[in-house]
Amino acid sequence: MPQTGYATSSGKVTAPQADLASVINQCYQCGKCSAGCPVATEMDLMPHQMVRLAVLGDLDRIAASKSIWLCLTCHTCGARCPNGIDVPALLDPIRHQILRDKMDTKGSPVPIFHKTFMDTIKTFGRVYELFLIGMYKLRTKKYFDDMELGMQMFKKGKLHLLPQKTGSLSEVKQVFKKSGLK
Amino acid sequence: MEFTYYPGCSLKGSAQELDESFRSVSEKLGVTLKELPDWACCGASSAHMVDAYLETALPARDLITAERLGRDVVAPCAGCHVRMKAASMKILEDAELSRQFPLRGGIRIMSGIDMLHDADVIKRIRERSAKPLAGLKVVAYYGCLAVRPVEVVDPDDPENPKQMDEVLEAVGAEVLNWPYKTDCCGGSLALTRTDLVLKLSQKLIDMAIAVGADAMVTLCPMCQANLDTRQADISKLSGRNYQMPVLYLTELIGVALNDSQASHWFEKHMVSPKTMLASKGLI
Ligand code: SF4
Ligand code: SF4
Repeated sequence: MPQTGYATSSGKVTAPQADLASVINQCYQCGKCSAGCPVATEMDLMPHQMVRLAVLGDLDRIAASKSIWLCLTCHTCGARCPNGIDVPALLDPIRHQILRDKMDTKGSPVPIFHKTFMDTIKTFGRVYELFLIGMYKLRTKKYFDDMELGMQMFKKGKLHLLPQKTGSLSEVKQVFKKSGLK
Repeated sequence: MEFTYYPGCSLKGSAQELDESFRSVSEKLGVTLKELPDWACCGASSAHMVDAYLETALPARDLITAERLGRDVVAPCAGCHVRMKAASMKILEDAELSRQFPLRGGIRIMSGIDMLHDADVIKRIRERSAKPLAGLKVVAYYGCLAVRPVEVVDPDDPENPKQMDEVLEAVGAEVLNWPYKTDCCGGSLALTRTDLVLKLSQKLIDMAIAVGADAMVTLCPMCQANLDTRQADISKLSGRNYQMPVLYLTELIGVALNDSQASHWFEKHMVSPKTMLASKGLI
């Protein structure tokens, strides 16, 4: 797929791999994916439009969209597409590249959250909520969101004061070393 | 019956009542769970967003341990289950990944409902229900990851799954028809786009109220957390007082099995189900 590439596309965003491309190319724009997408109304590009742009080779527009960070990976689109096209399967590699190449994420807090989540796993091997939430708030400067809820969760013993670690943390760190996420 | 048990991070944190009720109910049903030693996070909703290698390598480490132990593994968290099964499928299909991660595919990776809906287990649930939940009207809320991605989960029916309904019927609850069994609650955007989560969750709760449910029942920690903890915010925004209990399936099985631990699980909820259950004479 895009064997030729889209006229205005920079070519910076890597086109989908051949096996994925051959599936995506079957899209006949029925719109079922967008009809069932829980966040379609919030999107600047709807799921069927992203798929169309991928077929045409204009991946820049997908990478620069708000939609790429709004997609919940709920797989409703994939479950319903008559041609077996799962939008997150198209978006995940683009999201990886955006982060790897430090492309503009348009101020979306979503990639910051996911990176912070992975930093938490790299540090402890398991989720440590206070670290995750604290770091996320620092990085997004959203200090006061959900303070009350956090206090209540704490009182109910759902937020631990101390981390629960994986014993063989060095193995987990090894996994991260081999990844694209530094 | 014996399984390796992968609790995952949620069950050690926000979904403690799922961990506790799952273990307790399993024991009462004669199912032995042995926690996977030294497990790490499966990567949850984040790994696949940031890096293809991590998405597979994190679950792979735990899968290799589980396979060495030889027992089928149960992951009650719908998210963990999907991540583990997806990683296993990817590795087994790909020669290069198979070289990096020596998996044979020799064990079954089961969700909570896979275990509870097993023919033997559901029979025991039915037989051992000392206190059937007569008069309790519930909606079964599966959410996304209990049925999707379809090729990973392989559910009985991706649009109208029935396994949780059938377990609820086995404990004597009245399972209501409703249209949002598998609609998304906003899951992974819980902290980042809370506004959207409130909107999606409110839609689900409103429908549960409209069909006359006393409670919503799920097995997904993300769904339960969104629906239970966000009702205060939804109430504030809408000016209505939302008090819809959102229970884990195993908590209700526990009530039916007369599990003395049950009231302790209910303490963990933001919207307490106690008044509602007491009014039905169930606790
Ligand atoms: S549902 Fe499938 S075929 Fe229809 S528009 Fe969406 S991606 Fe294309
Ligand atoms: S996976 Fe993404 S694009 Fe597909 S329906 Fe869900 S939110 Fe929409």
